[in-house]
Amino acid sequence: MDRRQSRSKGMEQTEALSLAFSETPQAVFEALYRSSCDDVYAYVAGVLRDRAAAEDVTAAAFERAYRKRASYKPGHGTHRAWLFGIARNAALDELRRRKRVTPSDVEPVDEAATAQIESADTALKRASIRRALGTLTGRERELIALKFYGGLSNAEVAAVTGTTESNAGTFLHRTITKLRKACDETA
Amino acid sequence: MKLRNDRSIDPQVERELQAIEHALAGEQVEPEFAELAALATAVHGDRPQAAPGFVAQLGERVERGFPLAREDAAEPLRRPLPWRRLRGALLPATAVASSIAIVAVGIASSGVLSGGGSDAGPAVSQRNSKVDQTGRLNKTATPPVTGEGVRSTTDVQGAATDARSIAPQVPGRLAERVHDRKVEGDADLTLAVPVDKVEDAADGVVEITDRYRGFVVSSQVSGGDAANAGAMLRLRIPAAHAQQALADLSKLGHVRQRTQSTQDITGGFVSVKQRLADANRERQNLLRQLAQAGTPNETASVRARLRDVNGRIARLRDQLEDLDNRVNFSSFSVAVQADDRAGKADDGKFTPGDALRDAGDILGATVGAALVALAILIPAALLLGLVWFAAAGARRRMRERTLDGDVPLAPPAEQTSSEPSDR
Repeated sequence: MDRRQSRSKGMEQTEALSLAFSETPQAVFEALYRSSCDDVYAYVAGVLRDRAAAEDVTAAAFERAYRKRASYKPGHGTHRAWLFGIARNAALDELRRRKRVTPSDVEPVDEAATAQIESADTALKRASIRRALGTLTGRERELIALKFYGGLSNAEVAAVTGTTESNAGTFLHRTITKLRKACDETA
Repeated sequence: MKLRNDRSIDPQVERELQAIEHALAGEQVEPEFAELAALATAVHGDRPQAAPGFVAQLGERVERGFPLAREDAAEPLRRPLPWRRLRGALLPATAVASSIAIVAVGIASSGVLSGGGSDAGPAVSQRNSKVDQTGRLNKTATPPVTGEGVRSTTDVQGAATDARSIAPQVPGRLAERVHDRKVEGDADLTLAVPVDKVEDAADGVVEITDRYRGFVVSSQVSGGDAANAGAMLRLRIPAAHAQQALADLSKLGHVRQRTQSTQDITGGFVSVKQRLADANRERQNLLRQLAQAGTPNETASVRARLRDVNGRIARLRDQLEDLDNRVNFSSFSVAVQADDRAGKADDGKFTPGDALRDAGDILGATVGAALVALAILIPAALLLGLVWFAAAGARRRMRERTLDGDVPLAPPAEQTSSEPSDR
């Protein structure tokens, strides 16, 4: 599916879900799952950098969200921000439990990408980006995961991280700038 | 998607963030942001993909509502209820149990179940005895001689009491000490009776006094309405029967107040007795001197001194007799007050008015118990809330510290350009 179309469709579904979340919880939760599963997994995997742990944490996050679905309050943000908040806590709890940084040799593999025939230039760029991501701090990497893997808006990122939208935007810009420099250096 | 117009963000920063948004949405960006857009697109394109099998499995669990593992297995009917099923009923059950407890405390506190009557007096006190070194010299009406001497009686509490004491609750060794000492007792009793029963109650007081071979020192009975009717009687009852008499007097009406006290007058008694013995010895000496007096002057002198000693002996005997009377007879002060409510309680009938009164007492006591419970629960809830907030804050800080403690990785080993970045 085209990236722009998938992103727009996801936004439309998000708005519809926000309105109907409290009316038919089971059906709405299933719709939330279908629209957010990949995003949540991508975010969690970006934080933990361990496929097996990411699957466990993603499943735990959705189960926890399912059990607490009645506690969702529209005034506290979008339901995606609410879901990602739960996933964030689960991921950080897992990270704290492990008490170590996952070595890069267990980074999740983008199987979809490797299944395609990539040009050398694309492969180099991908490798450069991953090396550059490795130079970021945990907090910066998490922000990248929220924004680029999870597909959250700046407002949703702010809601998940507990900061203001302006601060989230400023920190994101700073991180992107650092990533850019790291990419240039590694390239 | 447009960013919220926030003046705190640098305009250039805001434009770059806007460009990232456009790039992620697949939209065109300005040429100056092309590199930035390419980076955003590349990072997004490198995001991890979930395995199809994992997605399908998780989707199935979502459709089934994340069943608990226990519900999947075929287990026998006998199994403990899950905590989640009980949790929903826990709060209402706790509320019901608390309400029942509060009402029970209220009923018990109101005293409705214990009933009224002569034993419901609010003030039944007994002061400790104190030593009186001087004693009293006031002469009282001479009581009839009982001729009973000292004897032990048993009061309603089962403690042995000395005939010269009305301390009803003197146990064991203390009772022995009291037996050797001279203790004066007195009691004040206030009774409430219906207006038309004041004179009957006063007659009852006199009858009880006679029954126990006491005597009425003074009495005053007045009739009329509730404001004017009443009686005041002062009695002297043998100390041996004082406790029983007090119990019988208490049954004549609703006890409003009952006070008992004792006063140890052993010191005064011993002093008077000693002075009397000295006076008697002095008298004996004077009588011997009188027998040996040779001259009329000596005789007159000795006789004069004898007269003084005799007078002193008489006074001391009177004092001793008075102290004996005070010990042998207890003083009672009985006040009879007119009260219409006392009559209804004494009738033993339970009327709707009684029911309303009891209901009001229960309600008042229940409200009081509820207020006390709130006074305990509210601070406890506030404390628990503070603890919960502190714990939640600590948990949040620990999670954030996890990110802060995560250090950048060293760059991985160099790879050839033809090899994809794979494990």
